Amino acid sequence: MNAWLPIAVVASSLVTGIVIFFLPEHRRGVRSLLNIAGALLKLFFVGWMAVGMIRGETYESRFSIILGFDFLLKADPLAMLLVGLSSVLWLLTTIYAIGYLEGWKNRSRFFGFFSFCVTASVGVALAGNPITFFIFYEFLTLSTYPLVVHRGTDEALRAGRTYLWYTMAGGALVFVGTVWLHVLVGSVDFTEAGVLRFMDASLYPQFSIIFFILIAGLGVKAALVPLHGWLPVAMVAPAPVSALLHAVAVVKAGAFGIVRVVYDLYGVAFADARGLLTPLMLAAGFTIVYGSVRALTQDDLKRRLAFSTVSQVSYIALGVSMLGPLATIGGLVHLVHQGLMKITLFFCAGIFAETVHVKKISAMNGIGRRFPWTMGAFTIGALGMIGVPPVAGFVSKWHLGLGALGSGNGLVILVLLASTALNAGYFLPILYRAWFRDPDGPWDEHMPVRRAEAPLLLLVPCIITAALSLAAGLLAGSEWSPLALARIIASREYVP
Amino acid sequence: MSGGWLAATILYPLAAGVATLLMRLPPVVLRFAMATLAVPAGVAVFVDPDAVLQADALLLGTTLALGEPGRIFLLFTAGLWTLAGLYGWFYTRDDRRLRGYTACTLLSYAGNAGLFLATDAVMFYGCFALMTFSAYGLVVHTRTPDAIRAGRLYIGMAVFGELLVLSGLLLSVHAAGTAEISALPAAVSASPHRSGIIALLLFGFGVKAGLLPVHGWLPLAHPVAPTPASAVLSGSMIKAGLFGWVLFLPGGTDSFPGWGFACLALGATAALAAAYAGVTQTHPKANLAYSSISQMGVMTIGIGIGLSNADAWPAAIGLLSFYALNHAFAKGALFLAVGAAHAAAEKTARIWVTAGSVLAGLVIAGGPFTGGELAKTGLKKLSGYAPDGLSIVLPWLLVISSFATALLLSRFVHLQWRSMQEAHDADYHGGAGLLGTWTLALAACAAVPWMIAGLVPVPAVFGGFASLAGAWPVFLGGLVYAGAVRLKVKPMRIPAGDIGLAILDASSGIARWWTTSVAPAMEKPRVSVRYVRNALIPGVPDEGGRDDRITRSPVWAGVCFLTLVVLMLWSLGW
Repeated sequence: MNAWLPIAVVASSLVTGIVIFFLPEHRRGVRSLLNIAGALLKLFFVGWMAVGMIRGETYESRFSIILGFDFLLKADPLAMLLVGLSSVLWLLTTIYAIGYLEGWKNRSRFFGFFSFCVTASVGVALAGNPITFFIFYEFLTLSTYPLVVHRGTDEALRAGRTYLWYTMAGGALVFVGTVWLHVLVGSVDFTEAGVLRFMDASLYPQFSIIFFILIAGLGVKAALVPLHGWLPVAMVAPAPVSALLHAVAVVKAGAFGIVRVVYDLYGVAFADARGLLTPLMLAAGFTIVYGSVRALTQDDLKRRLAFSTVSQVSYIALGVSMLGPLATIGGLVHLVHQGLMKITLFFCAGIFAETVHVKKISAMNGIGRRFPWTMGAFTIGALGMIGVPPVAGFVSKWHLGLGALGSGNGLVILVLLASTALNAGYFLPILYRAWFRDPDGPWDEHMPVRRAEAPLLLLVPCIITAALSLAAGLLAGSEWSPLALARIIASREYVP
Repeated sequence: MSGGWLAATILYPLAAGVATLLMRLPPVVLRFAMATLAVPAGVAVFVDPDAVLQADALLLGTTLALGEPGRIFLLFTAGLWTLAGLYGWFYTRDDRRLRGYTACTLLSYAGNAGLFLATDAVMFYGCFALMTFSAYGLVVHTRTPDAIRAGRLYIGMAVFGELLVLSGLLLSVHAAGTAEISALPAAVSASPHRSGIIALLLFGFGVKAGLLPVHGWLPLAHPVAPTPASAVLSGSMIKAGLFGWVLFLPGGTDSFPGWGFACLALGATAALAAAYAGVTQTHPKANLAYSSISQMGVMTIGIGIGLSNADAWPAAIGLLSFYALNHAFAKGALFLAVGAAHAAAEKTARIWVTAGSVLAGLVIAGGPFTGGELAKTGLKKLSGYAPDGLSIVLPWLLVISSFATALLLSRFVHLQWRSMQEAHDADYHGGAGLLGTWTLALAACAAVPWMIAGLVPVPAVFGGFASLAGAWPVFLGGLVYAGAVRLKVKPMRIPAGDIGLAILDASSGIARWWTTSVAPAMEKPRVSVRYVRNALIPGVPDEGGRDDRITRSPVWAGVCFLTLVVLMLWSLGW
């Protein structure tokens, strides 16, 4: 049974997706039921696995495939971090998407690929070796492309092509790195605290090259500058897709890949000793500042959020690139925190766009009066991004700051401070407009009477993610918080 | 249960604030919440001061408790906010933004009160941030262009201060290896970066405390904020900055003559320069804001003495707690007098408001038999700890400061009187409720010296009341002001906000330059993917939707993927 559970976790959305493709467009009820059932089933399997792991069970599915590669799915605490995030947010995003796509065309296609997208993301998390990781990493590219271009407009198709160019090129690099590594050392599994450090020292120079090839390939999805160009373009996608792309699926696959490579392939101490981490740190630091600077002047809400993602996702890489448990904790926990906060923000942007067609920040004057709950959720997400306690973002920033000091990279504090200031610079004006200006848009400023401010299918997931963002920070000290899990992982990555 | 009141101190206003935001509560409930917001804090201070509440799950694990200075700070904070809440009951009678005002009041009070209970840096910082960000809503409450502008400076400087505080705290916590506040000063003192940490904390909390040169937001924010909000901003929230110094600066662990001198210099300059700037103001609340900067300058002198001599630190903290308490109630009474003046329609009421303002002014300036006098004589004794030379200069400096304060607050009384003379019937609002609440505030500030008997531990440095003759600088200040008015002396005017205005101008200039010059250039990168692609692979069409079958027909996609799954299973050997 233990060998089947990781497969079941992956398959629960894969099968859903395939079945949905065969559903006629008008079978909305059945499709929604399938979607929700798939998401709940996945959540159930993940929960089962989590409980088992606490009891000391191990879950691993391994098959030999062609050319001597192993196909390996393995549940370790690090995998659970992303699997947990994906499966919870998938459920919420599915609900949101059902409400959002009301009346759109091609919904079967949409939900089919939507399910594949989560399948890939969970596969990326559970992948136990580089080749399995690569398979799902590419699967993710292919399954997200139809979502990005879903609207079918020229702009969307153009964005889709840009997206494909970037991600396929990145995938090719990951492939080169993976194969090269395979040629050198054969089939290696991701192992806590790293595996390449046990290899022959004569291979070290090649390892260094492979490291940068892999990071460059992964950096495309993780939107490290200058490989980030696809992300702001891809925000033409429908809101639930953007939400998923920015919070869980694509950027997280890249960031998670970097985590895997640094910790479980090379080992953070080994990578540090070979001088591999400093370039990564510089790239991450630059990306953090650059993304925020670009976000400052965007008037399109989703575009501003997209540049914010460029910046925030690199917190993960930044935490990974510093040697020391606190930095590790900060980076890993941000994987979850950024996901919760950013998905909240995109949900809100989607609600504004769908209900009153507000897409520009300059049109958001007084919108808090019309959407108090939505804007409340947005406020939590925005304050979290800035790093205001007690929202989750603060917990990440605090650990990254202490980790920077602990690893002797005091100057990284300046990056964090600059990022905080810039985040305040581009989020606080939004809050100011929404809460403190009088409404002057063409939309009705009054809340609907006896009706929620937005369709509940959109509003409820948004409020839940906002509440989770708040809870993850406010209750960070509890044993069920993302922080607690990140602590467990960090303690295992530093075993001598 | 022990500690329940500590939790309620924060949770009651917090929950009420959140409920205000999310629900449409009737006005009477909102007003009731504002008037009662500090009740749990009162119980915590008086009934259960030794309680400890441990919450490991909260934030990064936190414990709430009331320390010695924390208790005094919480006492005056709770007292002043209650007065402001009662005052607000009448003040907000016709306010269409009552809901927003209530929410911001409740939330910023929750942060303000909570930070006195914190025993770890994270909780402290969280409460500090809650207070800072919620108070923005109070500053811009009226939404006038002036208020918006003041709000911009306020929030900009507040974020700047938060950044300095955050980095100072990170460095401290890193040095100590724990976030517990009690362990931080010693660790900072032993840290190789101690000068940097002190600088960060000094100026970071200094933004809140109105320290020179980061004081600019005060004279802009106070005139535009609703009167009860100005009272708590100046009486209580700026004391949170002082409290930050008291908690986190490494005084008492070592002597820091350099930093001590820096504080003395900044404090003395602020005490005198702000008094001058205040005398030239035409808005009574701007005048009071400068008075606050000036008084915080005097408190900075106290911090400086404590830093320069480790032995003086405990006495300095005790004295500063008292100084803050005294200033809180007196400044509260003065600010509330501005609103009370608008309520004083009859002549007797005007005389009463004027007399009361004089009394509160005397309390701050150190007039005879007031808390101010106790504080000043205490500070004189404390300056005995200052390094040689300074210990001779300082008492004289304090004398000059008393004189300057008297001058400054004479100006306030004069401005008040003038505005009451010029007021029209339409300006009156609030009525007896405002006057009554204000009288209560006045009673509180007059009672301060007698409070210390029962509630506040007497700092060792108190000199007690001096003779009436000791108050000569205060009376001289009043006389000189009267003479100057008679002689129509026109001092050079300092615009309210002084260097804050320059900061505002500079930041708008940078923002304009950025949005018009830099940002558009960044939007059009010279090298795009298409550019690279066209260079590498000629002949690929640039535009046009050649979407393939997989995106057009889901069934087709399903077939593809099903085949893929079968192939995969087959490759796995089934």
